[in-house]
Amino acid sequence: MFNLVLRGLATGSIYSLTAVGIVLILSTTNVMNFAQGDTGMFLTYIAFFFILRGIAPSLTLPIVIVAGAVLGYLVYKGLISKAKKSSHLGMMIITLGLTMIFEGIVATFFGNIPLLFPPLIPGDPVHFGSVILDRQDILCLVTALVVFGILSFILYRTKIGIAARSIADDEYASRVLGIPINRIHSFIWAISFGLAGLAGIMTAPRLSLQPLFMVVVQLKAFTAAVLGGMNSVTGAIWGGLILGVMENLVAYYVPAIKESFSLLLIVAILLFLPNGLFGSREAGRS
Amino acid sequence: MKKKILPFLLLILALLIPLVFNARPSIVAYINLAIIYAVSAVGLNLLLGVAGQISLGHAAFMGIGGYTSAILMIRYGIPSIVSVLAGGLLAGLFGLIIGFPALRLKGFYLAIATMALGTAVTDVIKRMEILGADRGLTNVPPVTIFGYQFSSEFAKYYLYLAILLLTIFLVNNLLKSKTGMAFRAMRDSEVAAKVFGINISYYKVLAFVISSFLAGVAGAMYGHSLSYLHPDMFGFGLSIEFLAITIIGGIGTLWGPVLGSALWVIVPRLFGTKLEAMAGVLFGVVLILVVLFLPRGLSELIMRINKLFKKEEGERS
Amino acid sequence: MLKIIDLTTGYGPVEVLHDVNLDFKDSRIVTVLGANGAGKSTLIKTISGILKPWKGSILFDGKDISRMSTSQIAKMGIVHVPEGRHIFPNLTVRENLLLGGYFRSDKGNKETLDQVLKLFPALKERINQKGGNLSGGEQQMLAIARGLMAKPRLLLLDEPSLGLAPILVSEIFQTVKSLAQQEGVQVLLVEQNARKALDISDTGYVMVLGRIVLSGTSDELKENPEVRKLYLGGQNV
Repeated sequence: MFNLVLRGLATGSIYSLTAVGIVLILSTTNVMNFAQGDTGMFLTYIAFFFILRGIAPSLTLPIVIVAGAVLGYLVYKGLISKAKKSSHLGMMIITLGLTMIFEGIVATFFGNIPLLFPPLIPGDPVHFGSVILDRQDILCLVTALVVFGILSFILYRTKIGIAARSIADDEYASRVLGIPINRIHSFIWAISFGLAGLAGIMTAPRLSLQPLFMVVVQLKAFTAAVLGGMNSVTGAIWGGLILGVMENLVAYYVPAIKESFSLLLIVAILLFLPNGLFGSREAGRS
Repeated sequence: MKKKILPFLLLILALLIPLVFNARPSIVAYINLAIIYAVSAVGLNLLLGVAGQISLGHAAFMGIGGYTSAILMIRYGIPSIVSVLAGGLLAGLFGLIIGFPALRLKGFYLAIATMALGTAVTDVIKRMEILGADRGLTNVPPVTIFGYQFSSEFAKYYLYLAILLLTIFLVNNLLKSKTGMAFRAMRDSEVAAKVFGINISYYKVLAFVISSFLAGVAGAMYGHSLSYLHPDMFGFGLSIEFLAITIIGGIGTLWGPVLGSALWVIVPRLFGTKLEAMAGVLFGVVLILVVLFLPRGLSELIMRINKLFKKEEGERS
Repeated sequence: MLKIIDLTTGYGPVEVLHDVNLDFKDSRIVTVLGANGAGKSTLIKTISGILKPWKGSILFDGKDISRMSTSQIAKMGIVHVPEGRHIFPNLTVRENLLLGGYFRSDKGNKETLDQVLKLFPALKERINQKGGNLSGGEQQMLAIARGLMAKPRLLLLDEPSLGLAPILVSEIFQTVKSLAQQEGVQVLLVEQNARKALDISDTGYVMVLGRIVLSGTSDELKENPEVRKLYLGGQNV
């Protein structure tokens, strides 16, 4: 049981990483980013490219974060900021266009065949008394913990982070104060895409690397985000962890519904708990 | 009079197409696939472009239609005409069920919910032994009407073309009817539509039902045409494809989905097998460009070019 | 010093302001009076760069700021306190205030924060509470205090009395007055509460349907029969 929970937390931390990216972008730039998962997929292939050239797997961690940040900045500057006049749904469809581009590029260079992505830290599972954990799981948990620590420092202790939260609160007021909205938006896109990359290389060793491997993770991340109220970073983190644990327990005790569980959860929460478990204010379902 | 000539010519051209490709059934097979896509895309266009409701689970309804029609024929020997319609109807029934969340959810949240429900459908099919679970369903028989098997690509072509034209004819009439007006009113402003006494709930659900019905029929055609079915064929990816097809072709236009489907199926073949995946990149770019610059899709572009020519002619005379 | 020359602008195809002229000269507080929809808020939004002028110029210390971005204008010392307060409800009072001085150094911000809190002791007590938990009056104080964090030389106040009880309105106007007199901040005040606004200001302008129709010292305006009839409720001053 304890083992199930811990492993659930490890899986959940990947959901959280992805969900946080989605929520950051949604709450500051009002774009529902359906490319969060595929961005991670794309960056993981970049990491794989480096591994093929002899770079140690663990070194790809900083590579995907930096590459993700650059990609996020470019996507915001080159595309999203130019599309401000489109409707919210139009912006969402633009991100779907991005997924097609990412998937197409990857399929062209690597094909659709599943590839084996090496674990970032090799070695046998670690025993803590009766609890057995994969090194990869431990890495997920630690990474997520560090990332969330840094993130909450940025959002609550730095000027740019507080400004980002102010945009989520009231963009007009931020503009009136002369806060450079565009610069903060691109900062948020950079962070979110960095998170996407992290989530990607945390997931790849557990599944295999192929163009669609992050689609399911993204779906779970949406569930986590919805669970957390869709506008709260803290909510998204908890949402992901709770979902990971619940999923593991359901898979163990009620295996018949394990695949569809989170899918039905998402719909049920959207319908009956529109603010999620942690949403602080009206999430505005429109 | 002049107005009637063009569609007539196009129809004759359409009827002659198989003769042109007489030597290459594989090409006609692609055209057939485009037609199947078009029927489904017309359905999504009705929902998205006319009634203004987003769905990221459209492919799931195709799956429901495809499996229903196939299983009715294989297991119970039910005639194709009935089984295909039944596939459409069952998909429509599921559309009814999915239409209800749409009453409470809008925009992003409807997108997420339909994505989840669509994925749930394929997950459930994977667990159903009777449907072949995740091995898929093979040996799906071709459509058979009064003993005639539509198994050659050419025979399928005429049958599918007839279904597509019938679909477009019916949808065109629907658009001109009170229902079509209600859909458009709902899309443009729900508040205004309510003020005019339009029953929003009814029409929202109806839009989901009709669009799912068409997806179901298309799914049935798909299964009978390919002779096999697998749950993964109807996943999130295909739903996105249909969204892209509809938007690229021209959202809210009558022929846009047909144009979009034709491009979607045919353009990747032009890239050759090695670079086929690059077509996805191209479509992604086009999709983004359309969202940014062409709200009515490529059919708007064609109409603009048409107008340009007409103007020039007018200036010359 | 602010000087507006022949300013014309609007939203989309609709022209809202027509050839507006306004000159601060040596006034500390200038009030723009006008009915709802006269274009007062539009004027303020154009000065702060949220809305771009179609024609005309806005001079601040002789420099044309009409093409600058809101950030650049704020950096020059023109700060806009928007109508309806627009404080950040999910941010603490401290965070709200710090954002007011977004482009200033952290050290400078800290000093200003102490000064501003001295002016608004009520906010000091609630410094760690969320903005959304403050009362209406406190929120208006916070909005003004947030504006002051930028060390403005010109404060644009849009309807600061909106939705507040009369006693709070008087308090806020007193604060504005002392800001202008003791801190040397110039204030452009847009108000429907004409009497109280004119009481604290030096100069006034009257705006009707996007045009300035009358201007003068506050005392002159208070004596003007038209102004008295339309904006002061016809009573004796």
